[in-house]
Amino acid sequence: MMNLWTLAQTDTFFLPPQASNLSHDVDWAWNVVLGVTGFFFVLVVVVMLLFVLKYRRRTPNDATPEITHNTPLEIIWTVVPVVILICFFFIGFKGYLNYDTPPTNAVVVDVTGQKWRFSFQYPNGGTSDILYVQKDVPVVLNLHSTDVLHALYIPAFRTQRNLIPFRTTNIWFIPEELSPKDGFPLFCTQYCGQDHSRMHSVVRVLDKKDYADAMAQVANPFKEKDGNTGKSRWIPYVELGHKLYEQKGCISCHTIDGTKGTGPTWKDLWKTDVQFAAPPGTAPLKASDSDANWEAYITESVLHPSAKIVQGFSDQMPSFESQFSPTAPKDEELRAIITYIKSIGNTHYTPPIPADSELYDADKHPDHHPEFTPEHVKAIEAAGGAAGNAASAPTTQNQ
Amino acid sequence: MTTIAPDLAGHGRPEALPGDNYLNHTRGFKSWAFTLDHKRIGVMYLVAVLVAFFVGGIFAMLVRTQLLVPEGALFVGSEHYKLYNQMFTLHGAIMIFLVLIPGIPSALGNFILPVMLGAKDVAFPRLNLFSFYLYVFGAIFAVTSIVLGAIDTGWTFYTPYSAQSETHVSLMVFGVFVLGFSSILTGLNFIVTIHKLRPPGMTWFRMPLFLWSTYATSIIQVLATPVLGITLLLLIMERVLKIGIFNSEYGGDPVLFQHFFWFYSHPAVYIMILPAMGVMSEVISTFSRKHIFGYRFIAMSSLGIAIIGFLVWGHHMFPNGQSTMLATIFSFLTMLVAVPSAIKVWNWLATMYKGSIWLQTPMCYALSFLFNFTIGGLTGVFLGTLSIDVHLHDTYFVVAHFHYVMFGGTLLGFMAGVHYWWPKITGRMYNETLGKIGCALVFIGFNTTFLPQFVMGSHGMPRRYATYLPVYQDYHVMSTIGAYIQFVGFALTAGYLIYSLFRGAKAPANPWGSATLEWACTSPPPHDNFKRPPHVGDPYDQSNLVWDDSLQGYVRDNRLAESYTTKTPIPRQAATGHQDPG
Amino acid sequence: MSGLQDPPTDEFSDKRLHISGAGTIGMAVLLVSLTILFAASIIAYLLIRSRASVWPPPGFPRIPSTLWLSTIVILACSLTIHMALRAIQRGSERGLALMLWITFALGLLFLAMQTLNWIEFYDSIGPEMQLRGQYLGMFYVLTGLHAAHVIGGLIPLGVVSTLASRGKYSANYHPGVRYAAAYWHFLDIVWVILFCVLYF
Repeated sequence: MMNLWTLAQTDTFFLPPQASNLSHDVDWAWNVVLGVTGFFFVLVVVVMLLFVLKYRRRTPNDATPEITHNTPLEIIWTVVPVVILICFFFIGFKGYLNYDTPPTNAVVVDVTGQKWRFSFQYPNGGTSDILYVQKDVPVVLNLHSTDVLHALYIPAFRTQRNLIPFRTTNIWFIPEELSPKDGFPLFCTQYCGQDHSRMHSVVRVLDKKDYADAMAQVANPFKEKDGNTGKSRWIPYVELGHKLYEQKGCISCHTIDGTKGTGPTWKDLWKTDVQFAAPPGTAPLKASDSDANWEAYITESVLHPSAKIVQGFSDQMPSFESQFSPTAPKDEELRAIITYIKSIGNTHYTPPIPADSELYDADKHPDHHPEFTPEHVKAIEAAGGAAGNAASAPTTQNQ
Repeated sequence: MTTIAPDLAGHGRPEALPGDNYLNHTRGFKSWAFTLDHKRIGVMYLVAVLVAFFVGGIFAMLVRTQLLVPEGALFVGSEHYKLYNQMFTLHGAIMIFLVLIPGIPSALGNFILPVMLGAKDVAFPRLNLFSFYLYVFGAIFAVTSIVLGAIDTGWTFYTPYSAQSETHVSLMVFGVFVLGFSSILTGLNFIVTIHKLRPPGMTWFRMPLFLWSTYATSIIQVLATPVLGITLLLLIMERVLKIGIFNSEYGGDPVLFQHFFWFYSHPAVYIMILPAMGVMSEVISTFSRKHIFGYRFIAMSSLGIAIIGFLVWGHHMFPNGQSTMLATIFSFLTMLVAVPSAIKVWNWLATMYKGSIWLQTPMCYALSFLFNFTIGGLTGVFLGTLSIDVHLHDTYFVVAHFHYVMFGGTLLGFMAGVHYWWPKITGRMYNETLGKIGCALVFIGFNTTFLPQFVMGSHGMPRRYATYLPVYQDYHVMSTIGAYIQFVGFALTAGYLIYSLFRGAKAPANPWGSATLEWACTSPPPHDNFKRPPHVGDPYDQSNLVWDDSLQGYVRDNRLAESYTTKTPIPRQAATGHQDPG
Repeated sequence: MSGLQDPPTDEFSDKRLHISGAGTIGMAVLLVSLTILFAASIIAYLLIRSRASVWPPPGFPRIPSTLWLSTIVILACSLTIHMALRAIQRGSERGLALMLWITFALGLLFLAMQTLNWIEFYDSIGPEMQLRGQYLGMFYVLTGLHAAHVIGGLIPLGVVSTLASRGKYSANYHPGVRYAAAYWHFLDIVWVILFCVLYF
């Protein structure tokens, strides 16, 4: 009962903390309805118990008064609920109007739901798997789904809306409280299949400075800033690949320890013979095939998962194309993931650059990540060498 | 008068238990399998519903056990969540389509409705048998789907997931489709029965309220179920032919499915609850030994619920981002549909006022109903209030709310009905003490299960989660303990009911002192129910029924019969002045 | 058949099998229920259609115009069954039987034509589009649903026709004929509406 006790101390008995502009009206309505219905509930139960005690049967042949009805009384107890309920309706209606009409100066975040993760894309083009918002700055979330119905629900903000395939819905809110360190929970509430219960994330409400840092971080996933020392570094691809494995939601279907998940494990995937169940007649991929073939296979599996189905698995995976565009720099992310898969493969993998190399020091080498392909580096230079923020420019083409 | 009264319940002292009754009228498997007797069909339904209830209950236990720990106690690891999803889907689908919808109307209703009406059978006995076999047929499809690996779509079959799921959705959906036809035909049969088979004297406003509520239910069944039929048919087509009506992959609209589905499924909530309300009116009046209060208000509120119930389906779709205008209209109508239920609760309380309240098992269940249904109804008001719904939609608050209505309401009403009519159906009395203990266990277990769910729902615990954040664990543990208590309660109930079949005392014709017509028959009723058209009076006037110790039941006192037959069913003069029931 | 096993002891028992007017109400309730079934499917179709910018969708042919012939056949059904009803009201048992059997034959003809329509429509569509899409799907669902009800109507109509041939009906007693007529008129009306929404 520890949690109950802590909850009772830190929060109200009902309802999570109020953290958005919407929560006040909802909670007010809740309190009104709880008070009034609570009163009537107690009334019914007390009257019932009173009658059971007072009028309990004394003999099997008790005479009871002949009361069949009382029209005025019945009209009263019809009209009173009607009036009360119409008041409730109006309270709810008024609170509901808040959910329409977002302010025009709101930050627009694109939310994509797919089995079984959310991805949030910010105006600077960066994406993340948790939602960052700035305190007191209005936010509009445009909601899309790439496969089935999902719903985005943030209890602390008192808002919820469905993600409907091929439609865009939206919600908005103004976060009013900084979140605790690990954020406010954010859930998918519309049943969406096997891992529905793992489709949850968090919202972090940050102050202006932290928010700016977070935005810089999502805009350039290749670089990382140490909060304590203030130093930046380029993340080596093996490390970045693992990070993306978690962030992009690969983790929900693919294991890295060799156990079976919804999809094939990544452990020893690189250069291990693989048989395909579909489409019929697909030639197996051999360990002896070239690196380029294997890289092409993994790329295809991420972008067009239905093209080949591994023996013993079913066609479940949605396309991650919108996450990994074929153009720079997101193909670099894809390369990082392939590098990561290589590193947990059964062939010995040596990174081209040792992880402790000073080439990863982003303060000394601000231009580009040391593992970028030469083509990509050229593209950055052609685009004006947007130093230190290499990922920001060409990312929006897919949204 | 003395020539009529003996036909009702004998000469003040009915003859000993009947040699010939519907149970021993004919013998052998075929005499049951091809019976046209509504009572036998009712008994067969009852058995089928109870078996389905057991199966659905097992799934509920699995679901609750899984949720004992945040990462899942039974189905651990991503690849096993599907199993959990199948468990809650089957729990929902079985309980709704095989237990709650046919429970009171088809099982109890089939047995009781004609006798209560004073008829020999339903209007179309062959159609009635056909409905039963459709039910069995539909259930077989559902069971086949379960045996082959079950489905994981949730009982609502929401598209596009249900159109894409690789489980045996089509089979289950076809089963439900067939069950729908069973439901329509039963409804049709009851409507015609009530219209055409009322014996002389049984005017509309002399009908017991159970009949009114069954009548309202039947109307909903006939009008709403076809929409479910076409929806499920299109869903099957969608899966087989990929025609692109509901599946967004092929250009369909998932929201359209929701509209069609809820156009049936919200009224279906009233198909489930209305008959239970009818049982309540009978039980509370009988065990208060007092005339039901506000007969016409209760009867008309049943019809009111049936009508408004058709207009509120949109409140299941508030988070779809439908237009504010639509949401507003649906919210308003949703509020209105609460009013008839409120009327009934007040009237039941008023019926108890100055009564002679006899706390036998059926009355204990009725009081639990009153307690739980009030919670269920009032929490519905939270969900009908638009802004609060945005917060609570698809959380455990909703789960708790509809369990308070469906379980605390319909199922406890069903239990009240089963115990109330058990002597009539089986001719045996069950053990009262065990009955009350069972009722108490179910009541305590139920509230332990679902009260914590309101709290965790308001804190944002989403429904249909195989795993959850550790912060919710205490609520889940309480909830699961409650579920186990319920299980014990129901096991006990099953035990003493089955025991009573073999060892129970023989039931008198009228053990509770009720004035409705089924108690004028012997227990169990004879094959033909009534030899002659029964004489019909006020169904809620118990004043001339007196206790006979040698029979352990009530008999009609002929000296009081005079006033009984001359009383108008609803006295014109309101008995004002001495009533202020709360 | 428990009602038949024990001979009726009095008038009340006898009533168990012949309840005057019960069939009429039962039929009315059934037709209301079926109306909702068809109304819901037509509404679904119209909603789908209202969302498409072009209907039929590009690349799909129009609904075959041979459906006009089906329409005429089922209208004829309605006419002949009406004549059957008039015949028995006049007391002509032979006229009744004749007209009922003609109706039955027309019903079969209608089904045969619908089958041909289906095949023709299917063939007129390129193989890559066959069995795909809302347009085709809704056509088959709606006409199939109606055809299923025609089949469902032919069985009792066959029973009624046989009974009529055996002279079981009279001017005073012909409930089966009335129910059959009501049902066929209903199918007729439903078809005309379906045809309109599908064809135009």
